[in-house]
Amino acid sequence: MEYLNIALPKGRLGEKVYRLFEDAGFGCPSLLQPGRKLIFENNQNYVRYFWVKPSDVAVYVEHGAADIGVAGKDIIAEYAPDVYELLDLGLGKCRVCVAAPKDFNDDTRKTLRVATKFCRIARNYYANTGRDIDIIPLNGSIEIAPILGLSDVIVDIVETGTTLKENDLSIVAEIMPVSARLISNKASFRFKNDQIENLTAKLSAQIGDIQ
Amino acid sequence: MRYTENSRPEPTERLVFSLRELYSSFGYKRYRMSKFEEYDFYSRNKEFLVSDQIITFTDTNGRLMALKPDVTLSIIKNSPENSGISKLFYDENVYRVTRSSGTFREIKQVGLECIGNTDPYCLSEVMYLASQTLERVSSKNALTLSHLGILGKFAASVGGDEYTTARLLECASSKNTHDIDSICVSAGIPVCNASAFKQLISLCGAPEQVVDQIANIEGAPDVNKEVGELISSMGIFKDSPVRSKIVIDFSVTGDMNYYNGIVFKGYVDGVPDSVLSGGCYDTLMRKLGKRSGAVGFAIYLDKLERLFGEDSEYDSDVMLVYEKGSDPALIRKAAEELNSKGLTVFCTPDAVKDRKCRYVCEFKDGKVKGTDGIS
Repeated sequence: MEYLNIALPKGRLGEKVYRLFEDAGFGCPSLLQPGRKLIFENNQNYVRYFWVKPSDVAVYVEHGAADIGVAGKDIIAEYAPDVYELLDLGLGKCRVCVAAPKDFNDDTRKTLRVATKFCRIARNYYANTGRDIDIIPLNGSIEIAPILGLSDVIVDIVETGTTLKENDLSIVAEIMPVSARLISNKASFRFKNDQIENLTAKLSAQIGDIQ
Repeated sequence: MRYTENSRPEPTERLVFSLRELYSSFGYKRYRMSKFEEYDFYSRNKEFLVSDQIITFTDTNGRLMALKPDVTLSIIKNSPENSGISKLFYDENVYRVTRSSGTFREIKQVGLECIGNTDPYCLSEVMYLASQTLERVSSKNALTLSHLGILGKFAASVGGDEYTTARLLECASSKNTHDIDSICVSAGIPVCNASAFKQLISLCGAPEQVVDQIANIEGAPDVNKEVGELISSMGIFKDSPVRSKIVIDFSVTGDMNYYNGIVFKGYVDGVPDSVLSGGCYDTLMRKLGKRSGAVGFAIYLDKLERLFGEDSEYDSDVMLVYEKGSDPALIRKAAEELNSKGLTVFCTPDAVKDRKCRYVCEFKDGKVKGTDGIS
């Protein structure tokens, strides 16, 4: 039997996701031990886990370095990787939203300046509304862009809304809901089909039990 | 002979020879084409190209020309009408912007086209050749097929406008059944309308098994004709050992501006993406003003580079460092002696550090020294 290579997102979401895999029978006890190791194997159930940056999970899976992985719907929508999206795990729920300073008034005579790390999502959203925009790509601290006059609005992930509130921003529109998705490499799905289908079915049952 | 990597045909070159032989044995004729085509032809048909970016140049007569980004369009353009069946194969370079590099690359593409009064035999022969092509790449392969007519009818049965149908087909291509409810809700369609579609796109397996499952989907539209086409296309694989490698999978979608009917993709173990893609493209023929039918496929050799990639460990077997001023005839004789043992020899007056060689020998006083490890 071949190993099933699984890319998990580093951080709190990744640990929650791992617990779900563990409960479904795909545990790898060494994974949660403290240390800086990034690859873990369990030769009992033939799983090999990698911790990778959340935004890189889809890259690992699309290029076949990982057979399956867990990525947020925001990442999938942004990078549009050529992968299968097998399951909504219902974890890490949040939303991609347009936010702006509380006194924001969209002056439609001007091009709207949008600061975001989700350039494709923002572009598609405004293309559908017909609004002319300039994208200002940023990688972090997006919330300060409108405060400093860098942009009119931002497009970003909103979980509880606390960060927005603390920076005097409010939600103008919700673009899409986000949650963690189980993704699979297309070729791996062919050649490790039994392993992937089995894991998907067990995870699906786990999610059903939780929900 | 131990003559190494440099002197042997590359695995992809051997594959191309083998595919030429295969296609010729089925009566396909090699189609050689110019590397250039008038740009105007592609600008009128950009929607059918993988990327709308094309390398252009002005020819000596002032015409704007393009380096071919696609082969099929040119073959269709030059195919005569009412001439029965035309069976052609090609191995050509195309020039496209690739997603991974974002820049233009020269891509070696091998493929075949069957154009004219195509019938079920033509289709199944092309599918058979697609499966044989994959076999020549690797015995661990899979040919996945789908029928756009079936997918289209199930998607239409959900209701909704063109945009909704396009989103449903996107879900099909990523095996995403969990976002379909929200698509229905946002389109104002009852979620229950999508039940049959969800079941269809979840199907994946051996053709006979999937065909039975389609028949059992409750609320399915009438797809008897399309299912009949799927079954008949499989006839050629009866008793064939490759039959077990054929899978029906409705995640194989294809551009409906181009393809119609049966579409397929081929995978080989070790390559993360599909390496072969094809199907019936009567729709494209109509859009280019042709009345006849067409079916074909292409295999993308650039994707196989890593599969065959036993990385070459050495640049040459032997680095023969000769003493300056040595008689050229004696150096050549020494090198030929090593050649006769099947070794490649790099002669140099000084050792070259970045040249990786299995053995480093010295040629001094008319003799080769340091050949102890060479058998």
